[in-house]
Amino acid sequence: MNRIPKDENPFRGPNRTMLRRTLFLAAVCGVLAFAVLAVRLYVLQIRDHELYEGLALSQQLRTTGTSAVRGTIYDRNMNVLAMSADVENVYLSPAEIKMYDEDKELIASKLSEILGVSEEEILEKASNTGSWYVTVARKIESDKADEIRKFKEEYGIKGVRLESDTKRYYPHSSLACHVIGFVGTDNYGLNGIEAWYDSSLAGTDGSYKRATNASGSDMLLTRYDGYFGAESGYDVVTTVDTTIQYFVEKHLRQAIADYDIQNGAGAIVMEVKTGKILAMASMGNYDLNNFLDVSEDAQAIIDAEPDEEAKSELLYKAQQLQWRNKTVSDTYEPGSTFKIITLSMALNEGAVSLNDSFFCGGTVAVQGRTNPVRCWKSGGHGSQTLTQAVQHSCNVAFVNIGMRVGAETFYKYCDAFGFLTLTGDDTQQLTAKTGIDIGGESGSIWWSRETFCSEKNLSQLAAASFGQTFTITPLQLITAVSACVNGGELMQPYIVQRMLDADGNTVYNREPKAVRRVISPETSKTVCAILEQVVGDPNDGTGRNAAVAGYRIGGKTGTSEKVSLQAETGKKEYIVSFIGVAPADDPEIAILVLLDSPSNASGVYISGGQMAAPTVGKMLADILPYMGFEPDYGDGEQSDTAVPSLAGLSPDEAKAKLAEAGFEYRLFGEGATVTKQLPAAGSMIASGSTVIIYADAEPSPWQETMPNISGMTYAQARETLDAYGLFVRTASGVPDAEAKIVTSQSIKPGSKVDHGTVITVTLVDEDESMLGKY
Amino acid sequence: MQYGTARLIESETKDKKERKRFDTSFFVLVMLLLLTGVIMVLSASFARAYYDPANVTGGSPTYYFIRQLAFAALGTGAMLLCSRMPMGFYRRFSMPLLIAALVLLLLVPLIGVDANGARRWIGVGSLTLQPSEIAKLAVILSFSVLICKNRGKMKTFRYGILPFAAILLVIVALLVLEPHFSASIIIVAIGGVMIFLGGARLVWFVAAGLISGGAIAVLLTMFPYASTRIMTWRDPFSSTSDEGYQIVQSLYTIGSGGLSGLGIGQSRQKYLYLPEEHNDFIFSVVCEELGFIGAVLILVLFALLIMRGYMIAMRCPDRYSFLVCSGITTLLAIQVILNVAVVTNLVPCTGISLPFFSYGGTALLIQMAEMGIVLSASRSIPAKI
Repeated sequence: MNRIPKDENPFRGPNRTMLRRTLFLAAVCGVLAFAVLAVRLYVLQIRDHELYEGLALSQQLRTTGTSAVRGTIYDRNMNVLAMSADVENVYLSPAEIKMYDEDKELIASKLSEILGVSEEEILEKASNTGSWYVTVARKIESDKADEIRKFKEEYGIKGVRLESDTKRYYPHSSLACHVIGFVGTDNYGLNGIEAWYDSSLAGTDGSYKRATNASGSDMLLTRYDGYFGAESGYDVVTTVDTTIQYFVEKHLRQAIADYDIQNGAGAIVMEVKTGKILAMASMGNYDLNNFLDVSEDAQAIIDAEPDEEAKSELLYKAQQLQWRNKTVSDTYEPGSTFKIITLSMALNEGAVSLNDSFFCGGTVAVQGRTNPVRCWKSGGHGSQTLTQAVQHSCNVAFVNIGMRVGAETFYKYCDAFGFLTLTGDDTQQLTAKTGIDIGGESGSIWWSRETFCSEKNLSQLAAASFGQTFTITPLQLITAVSACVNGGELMQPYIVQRMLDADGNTVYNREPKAVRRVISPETSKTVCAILEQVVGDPNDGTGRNAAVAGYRIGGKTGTSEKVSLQAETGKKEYIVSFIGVAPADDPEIAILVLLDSPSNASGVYISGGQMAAPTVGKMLADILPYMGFEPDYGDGEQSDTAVPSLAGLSPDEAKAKLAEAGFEYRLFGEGATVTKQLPAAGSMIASGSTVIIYADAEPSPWQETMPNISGMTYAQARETLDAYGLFVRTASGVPDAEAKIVTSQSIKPGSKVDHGTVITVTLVDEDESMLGKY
Repeated sequence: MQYGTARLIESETKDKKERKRFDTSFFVLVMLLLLTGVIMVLSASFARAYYDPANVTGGSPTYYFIRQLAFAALGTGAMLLCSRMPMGFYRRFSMPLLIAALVLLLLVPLIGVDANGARRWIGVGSLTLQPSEIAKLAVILSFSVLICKNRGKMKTFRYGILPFAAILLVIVALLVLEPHFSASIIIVAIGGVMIFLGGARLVWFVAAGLISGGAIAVLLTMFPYASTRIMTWRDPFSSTSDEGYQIVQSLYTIGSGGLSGLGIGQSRQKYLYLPEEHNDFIFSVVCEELGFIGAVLILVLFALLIMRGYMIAMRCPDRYSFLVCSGITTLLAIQVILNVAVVTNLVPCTGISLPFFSYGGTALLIQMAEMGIVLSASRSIPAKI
């Protein structure tokens, strides 16, 4: 190597500068740069790993929901009130229709044929090829879904998809609609129990997370474990009894028709010792299965409106109105029914006793009021015992009773009964709710303590004594009255008794909850006895139209003027109500019925005693036997009798049998045995009616025209109908019915009726003492 | 050159007699990286080949893999062949190669194939070639020859800078016509490194640094295209450009890997989320599937290969071999470092492939040949060292 001079030898190795610079390069490119890259990787992969992984997963995973089965709602006898069934949604995947080059026209025409959706609409949706999901029809039932599956299979269509969903069914349509409530299209509870117990009923939706490629199909070979099963919702067992609910709604609907009620009606049946709601009805109601549809009357008004915007406004209002549960959402001035509360506190405080006497001269002056308080009976009731004061519903006497209790004590009792909640602030208007487990409960409105308890002005106390100048909900009233008659404890009302998991295990069971003791058991007994006299006394009781033969009923009427409405519009409207308790010696249930704004057109005198009381009576006549209370008839108390079976008897034997049962007879034909009778054996009809017997003869096929029997006494009605071959019975087994007046008949005058038809009538006592706003 | 030629023959005959073995460590490292790279091409390209959104593969999931495997085999052959050629052979053909590269670069705008708005490829049938790849090797080889020739005068501007700068200028001008920005950078960088190794004064590099810094500043203000790139680089998440999307997806991919990765074949980002996943961004998939541990291991393999390359260079008995080995090693280093820096968003996004990993037949072939040249040089090292 030494042969070649140093600088000229190309085969000489690199010089020192070159080696030094190479070492520098090696340090930079071989070590330093890689160290920097490793640090960068550490930052991305270790320090910020979760951030980037989360972002990546959010684009890679598609979540498919599997919906949980919504729980069933039962009544207390496990009758189904609401249930879910599997249905399916149909959607298009236009992107796939394009991808697989499927025939849009074929899809549109076939789907249109199966689903009844317009072909153009489907075609338009199918043309939106950027989309993977366009809904065509929601909640279709399995037969239609099967048809679509068949179509998909037959033509190998991939762009039409089905997904499972659930639909809510309400087997009883409108029955207890305000209690049950409904769910929206997204299966979210929107009203009633469906809303209040939504989270329990709904369960937990499951989800299935899929890893997909950028265009949405599943990744190959790569798995992502992300399945979360759906958990079924709980079944809810309510305290409502569908049979009682049915009776209540039937008679309430009848009352609305009979008395031409303008503004709806409400009723509650409560188990007084537990606070359980057995029935709760609000009218007008709606079909839960089609909760968006309004009543025909409302729809007619909407259809008549030409403006589209006004139309939808009207529809919205009509829907909101029909969904409103009057019994918990609307507050009103209870009027005379509240006298039960005044009476209870006065007796409990010892402010009055059964021996006290109250004089009513028609008016009473109250400190702080310019006009004296008038009694509904203009001449006054004269001298009365405490019981008579309640029987007469005497305002003058109750103003005096209120005065004896005193404003402070009265106010405290109102707090104890749950009408208001005392706060430290005396200047504040007070309110309270019962805390029932259903949505939409409104709070009461009371005068501030300062105003109510003013020593210079007793007018608030005076008016409150007979249930005016404050507003409460019907539910608050029946809850407080229940406390007055159940031995003295205020129970919290409730409507859901139990919840069951999917295996039927009870996961929640509600115990009745006593909020507090309000009055003593002795006071409660006295109150019950007095209330029984209001209904049971045929001479003094203003509630006598609620009487049911064979049962001991207590109760109190109410007729309250809608004062604020009158102040606003000048219209004089009333809410007539009645609260009944039964059996009166040891009450089990209370019923409150209120009818909002009856019209004069019905011809029935507008008052709680003439309208609400007989309605409650009819309800009790159905409910009490259903609940297993045996009737105990006094002498001659029963106005109706069952027709005996006469088939196969000789005419003479038949005559004797009818006479024994207290019936007259009319015989047709000459035969030796009875071949036919009108009405059929077992029918309940007025005692003393003329039963028609046929011996080898046939009843005339001619129909009769129903006469108008309203306004007649029961005896007159029976005689009138005898002539037509028609029969009459009372709706509630009214005791001592002969002289009572028919206010409504089950078959409208002028209708065609067959011979032997039994007409049910509502009877009221219409003597002078019964006509008034009490 | 006559003198050299005479020596060359002598050295060739001497070579034949001694038949020294090439550097085994270097060979093993190359084969390890190549093997890993081919497997990663299978994993990374699988989804795209199967779904075939661009209608290339006909849905065959192993489309890219089979081709890469074939080129890897060809490349290994090329490497072994090149390793058997004496260094004198390369020296003799250095200048002709440069001229050939220039001719090919000239041809690109005339007969080249368009792809993504640029014309960088020329080819016959399905066999395509990026002349810029050949230009890189040609620069290394020809500069080595020139440096040897200009020995002793490298510190002057006329001999140490001017001829090299002139060649680079011509090549860059031709690349700008394509345009091919990343290749220009690499060729200027590798040319600079060659001059640096050749012994040019450091002051020229300082001057070049200042001038290019100023030029970049001017370019950024003049061309909105360039400044958008810088913005995308600084905040890829707010960018709506293709580069922004690419880099965001790359970060998702790398970050998803965590410490130990999702496992080989388990990448989720390769399912059409990450663009160029078997190509320029294959290292992101490596990071996702093999995790931080796997990615760093692969970087360590590269670093070892590079260190070994420099070690071979420094032991070369002659200056030409030294320069060629250092140049090829540095070229490899620059490509690896820039590629990883791009996919991790350390530097602005530009298309640089990862040697031995990125899908691309002719590029792989040329890389393997370059490794063969280093192996050839390693055979001239005296055994005792």
